Amino acid sequence: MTNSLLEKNINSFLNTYPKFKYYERPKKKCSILKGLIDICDVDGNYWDSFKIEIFIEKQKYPYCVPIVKETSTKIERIDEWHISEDGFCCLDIDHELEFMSKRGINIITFYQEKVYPFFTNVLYKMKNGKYANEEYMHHFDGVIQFYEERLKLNDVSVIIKILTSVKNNDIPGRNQFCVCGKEIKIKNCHLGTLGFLKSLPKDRIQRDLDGFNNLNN
Amino acid sequence: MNIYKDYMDVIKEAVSSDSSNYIREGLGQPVIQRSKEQFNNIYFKASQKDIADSLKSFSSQIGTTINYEQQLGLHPDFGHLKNSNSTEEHYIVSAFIDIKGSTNLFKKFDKETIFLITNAIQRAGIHTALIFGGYIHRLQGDGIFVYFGGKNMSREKAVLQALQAVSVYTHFVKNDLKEYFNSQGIENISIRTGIDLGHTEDVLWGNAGIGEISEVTTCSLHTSLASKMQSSAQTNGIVVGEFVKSELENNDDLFKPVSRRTGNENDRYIYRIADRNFNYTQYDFNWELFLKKQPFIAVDQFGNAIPKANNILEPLTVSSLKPIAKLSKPYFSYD
Repeated sequence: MTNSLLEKNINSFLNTYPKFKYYERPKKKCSILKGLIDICDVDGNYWDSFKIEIFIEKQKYPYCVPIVKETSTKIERIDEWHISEDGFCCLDIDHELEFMSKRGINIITFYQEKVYPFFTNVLYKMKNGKYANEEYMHHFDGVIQFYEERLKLNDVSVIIKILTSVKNNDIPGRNQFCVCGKEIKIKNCHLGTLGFLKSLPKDRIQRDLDGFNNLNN
Repeated sequence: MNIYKDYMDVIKEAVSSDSSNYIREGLGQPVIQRSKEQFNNIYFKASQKDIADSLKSFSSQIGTTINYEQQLGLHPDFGHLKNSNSTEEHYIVSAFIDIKGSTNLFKKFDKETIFLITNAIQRAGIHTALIFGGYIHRLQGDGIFVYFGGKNMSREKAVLQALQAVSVYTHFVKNDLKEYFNSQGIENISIRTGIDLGHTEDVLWGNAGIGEISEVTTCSLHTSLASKMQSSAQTNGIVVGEFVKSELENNDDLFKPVSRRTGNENDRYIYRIADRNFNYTQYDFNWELFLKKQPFIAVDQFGNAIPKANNILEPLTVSSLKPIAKLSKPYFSYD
């Protein structure tokens, strides 16, 4: 293991969750944590377990998004369960995960904040018929929903202006008028949104821009 | 651990009915005492032979048949040695569990309350040992001396069950009991445990004493060392001999020589016979890590050990999953 931060974090992870084993796979891009995720509720009761694998890009860590695969096949392989035929799980919308990876992740925090809630939510839906906190719509509809809910943007033309500005790295200073077209200083308008979008990968911005442009045509 | 709820309830009831809770008149004794009937009611619960309901559902996961008919000082596999002149060699795992700090209870409670508390704690320990196939050999004050193993059990299984039992019990004392006593402003009560394995050629079973003033017991260096290692353990710690370690293959991460903790190389060996080149190492046992690896334990979101139990008493409700589940909002983008 050449990535010392990964080594340190993996050791902590295995001490905290000893039902996992670490496979370094020297010749592969990703190492894997394989094990059981035990779902327990807030009252300290155990419910069920899933077998999972967590793929971690060794060289990029902590600036990466681990990929999670469910291998116990307890989850039906249909879109409704947010899982691919091969068992890969959509833990969250890509934008949130990419934002997280840009800042750097810690595998324990990632497990506690993304992986564990995902499987608890799956179990909640198995028992209750629906997710605890709704879900994103599938494919680009989910992206539109994300822009509306997380970034408070629902005007497609404004979204396009903002994305174009981020794509071209053409964002005016905080005291200049906002790129959305309103005569309001950026710091009082879309400063937070621009900051968030700026931290996403360029291809993500381009794909979103293409998607919103398609809606306009 | 929810599995000890019934035992904790007895302790809580004893504390809430302690005479210190009643109105005092001047500097005299409490004017109202806990009634005899009230005491008897709690004592009845504290001294039940059968394992409490909250522990029963956990016990069913372990799958051992509980032998309630045990008698102190008379291991069922060696009962034929009672009052006989015969002896027998057979391996045994000895575990000494000692409760520390119970004297502190006298600063706060009356003797009846302390009697009820220590009974409940000891009963929880006895029941835990029974669930894991242990045989209670002797009660020593607040402490318990338990044998694991016998004629129909492999050495490996006996060692495993001894480690499982003391780990579950230590978790109870370190967490449930500590949390409650701290909330009552009581100085901490803790346990320390020593465990060792004596191989067949090193353990002699026989009757010690005379007539009814006797017990069927072991004469073995390793039984003596278990007791000695108990005093080497840190607060809520478990120290084991190297024969115990040898039975648990591929688990080196669970054992560290005691000398590594104390920084004193003299603590590495619990016993040495120089002219025979016999150096016997004592190890701190990482019971918390061990416990989380056991199939009857689940590991929750934050890495806490949770016993797997069928909730017969209170059915599970999905509302208890919701606070964690709602942190997730899944998305689907695969083609």
